[in-house]
Amino acid sequence: MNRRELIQCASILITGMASSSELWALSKDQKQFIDNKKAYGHAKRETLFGSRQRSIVANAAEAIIPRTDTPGAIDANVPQFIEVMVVDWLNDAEKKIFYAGLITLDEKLTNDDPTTMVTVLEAMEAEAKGAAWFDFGNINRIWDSEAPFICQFKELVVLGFFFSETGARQVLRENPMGSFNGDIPLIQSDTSYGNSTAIRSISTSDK
Amino acid sequence: MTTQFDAIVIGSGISGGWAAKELTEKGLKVLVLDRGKPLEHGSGYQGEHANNWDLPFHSLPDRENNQLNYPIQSKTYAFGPDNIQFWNNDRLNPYTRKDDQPFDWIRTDVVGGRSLTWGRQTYRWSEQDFSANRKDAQSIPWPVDYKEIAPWYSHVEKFIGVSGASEGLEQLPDSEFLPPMSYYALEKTIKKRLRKKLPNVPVTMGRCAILTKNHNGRSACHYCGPCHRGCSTGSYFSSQSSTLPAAKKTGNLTLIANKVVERLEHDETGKRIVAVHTIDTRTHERVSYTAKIFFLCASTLASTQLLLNSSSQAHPNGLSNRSGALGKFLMDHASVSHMGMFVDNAQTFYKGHRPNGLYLPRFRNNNGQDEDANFHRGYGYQAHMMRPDWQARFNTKGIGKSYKDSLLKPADYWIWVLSTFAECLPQEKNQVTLHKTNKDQYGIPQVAPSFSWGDNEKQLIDDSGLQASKIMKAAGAVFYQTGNRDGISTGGAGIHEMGTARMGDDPNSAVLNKYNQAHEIANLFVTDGSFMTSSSCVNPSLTYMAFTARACEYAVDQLLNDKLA
Repeated sequence: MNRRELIQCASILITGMASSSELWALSKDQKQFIDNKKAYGHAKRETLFGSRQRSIVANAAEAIIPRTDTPGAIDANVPQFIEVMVVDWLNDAEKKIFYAGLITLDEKLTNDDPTTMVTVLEAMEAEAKGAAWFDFGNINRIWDSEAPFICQFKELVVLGFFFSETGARQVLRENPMGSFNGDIPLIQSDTSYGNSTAIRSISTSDK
Repeated sequence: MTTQFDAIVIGSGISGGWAAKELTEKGLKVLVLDRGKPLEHGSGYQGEHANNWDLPFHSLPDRENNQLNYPIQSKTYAFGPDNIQFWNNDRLNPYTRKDDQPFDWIRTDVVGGRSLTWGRQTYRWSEQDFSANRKDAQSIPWPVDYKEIAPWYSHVEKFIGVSGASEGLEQLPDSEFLPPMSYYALEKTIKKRLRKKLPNVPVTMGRCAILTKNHNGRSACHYCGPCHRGCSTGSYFSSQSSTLPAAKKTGNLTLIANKVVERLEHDETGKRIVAVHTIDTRTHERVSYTAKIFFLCASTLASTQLLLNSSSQAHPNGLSNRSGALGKFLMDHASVSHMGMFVDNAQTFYKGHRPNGLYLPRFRNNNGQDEDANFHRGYGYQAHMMRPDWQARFNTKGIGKSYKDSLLKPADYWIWVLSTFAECLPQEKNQVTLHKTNKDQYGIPQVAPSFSWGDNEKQLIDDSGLQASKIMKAAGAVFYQTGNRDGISTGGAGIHEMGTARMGDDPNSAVLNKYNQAHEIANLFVTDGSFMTSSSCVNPSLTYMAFTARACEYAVDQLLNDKLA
């Protein structure tokens, strides 16, 4: 299927709605794929995203880290990760920023075209350019509580993507165990290693 | 209920595990008590093979749970969702932390203690360290010298396996070594440059209790990285992997977990311990045990808590405290970090996760005072090499393929971090007392430490920043940032807390004698960090092991010759 269809398909997947011809026309394969998908939802709290929120989150995540010749955000279950993080991990003040930002994003989306999503996100990012989030070195903290919505969202996408199995193994590569060699050539195409310790867990410790 | 053993060891960590091994191997029936939960080697390490995505929140710190249940423990680099089972629940088992004299008590709540989570760096003390108090008169002299302890360092090193390189440095005596770990290309570059431009600053591979060859039935390291999760191949030293199995093999070991020791009871003479009174952590049931000799290895603060809580008419200020020194002269290593950015060797990479870094031994005030040093003693640096990845640059502009692609490759530079560990002078005002009213859930008075860094520590830290600038420049850093006293660690964060039951020849100024034996109670030995009379700048665990083994030999010899009555 082409990329537009993937995103539409994924939106339905994420919203948990049964395949419906009201919104998009799905092929038999796509319907099958959706119907076979396990039900989503294992967050602690009861207030989960609504179906519209899930759709926007999925499409926005995919816009930020798209499937290219390697898997993208939806392939890596990033939308589910974002939902759990927002519902269970962000504090009240951070949640407020997120939900307000999601509403703003929704309002700016005049259609379902994926290129519109990219344009809108880029515009939101340009608006946020003065934020401290962009400062060099502003990564040695567990979370930037002042981060505007677009920055929160990007960070959640990135964390959810590279700490996922798909991101770590199919986009990055796993560091082979067995021995240590600190002097091997780095080839142009070499990625960094996935499945490693979150630097922010160590760098924020009292030393 | 009372049961008879030859020896009781309180605590099963770095020193307790050694006491268990040495005493059982000498034929004694030994009971080891630990307040922590049981933990099986291998099968018990729940997070050992966890991937990021297997852990809650993809391994990101659980802020809410950490704040509620682990506000102190979550401060340490070694704490994470992958080993949360090891750590003390600060909400259920608090201590009294003073905001104006803060001390972070980092501790576990499992059999094996911090031998599971420690940094595994192992260094011998030198004669310079043992004689420092005597020479600069900052505190009472040690009752031993390096010559006496050297054979015991050898003894413990041969068993545990220490990898490292022989350097022939007086201030950092060589150990019985397995081959050292290998270098990053950039580390070779840095070492060459420093040898040329700063020949007075030695550089060596970190000496660590991680095997580079199979040793005593344990496997060499396979470089998977996160040792602090526990290692089922036994590639680093822990009680679980090494000393407890050796003790078990003798058939003389009884290990009982979930037992808090409330107090020690002495006989009517006040000179002999006769019983250990415990409280079960799950049922709060009280059980007492007796033995002929007692080894207190509960860790610095816990052992002193126990000695203080065992006060009686004969020992009104805590056991063996005629000197008044019990609880006093608490020390930790002061720490601060410095970082440098390097563009050399950017076309090289690595495979495997090396759980170690370079070590820069003390080069200040060696064999006398440096002319430009306004401080006593010295410090060393532990170095870490990192190649930043997406985690260091996700906070940039970009939506879509170009943003994604920009995050896939390693950065064009390396980051080299130097972490200072500075010696801490013993000060009387730095102390541990029992809180007058706060009790823990077992009714035991809470530990209440008071701690602040002295001028000497602050000056050592400042100097380490000054010297780090020179080092980074000579090493070829294109950019560097150094720390000073403004960034000094909180007391306790070094996780090298020592003192409060110091050893010395004179019972009027020390709690223990040269054999870790309580001056006033012949069958009581204290061999964890509490016995330390000064702190050196090197990681102390190897020294605890050596003194423990030596004290065990002495204690058994005394016991067999009826000298402990």
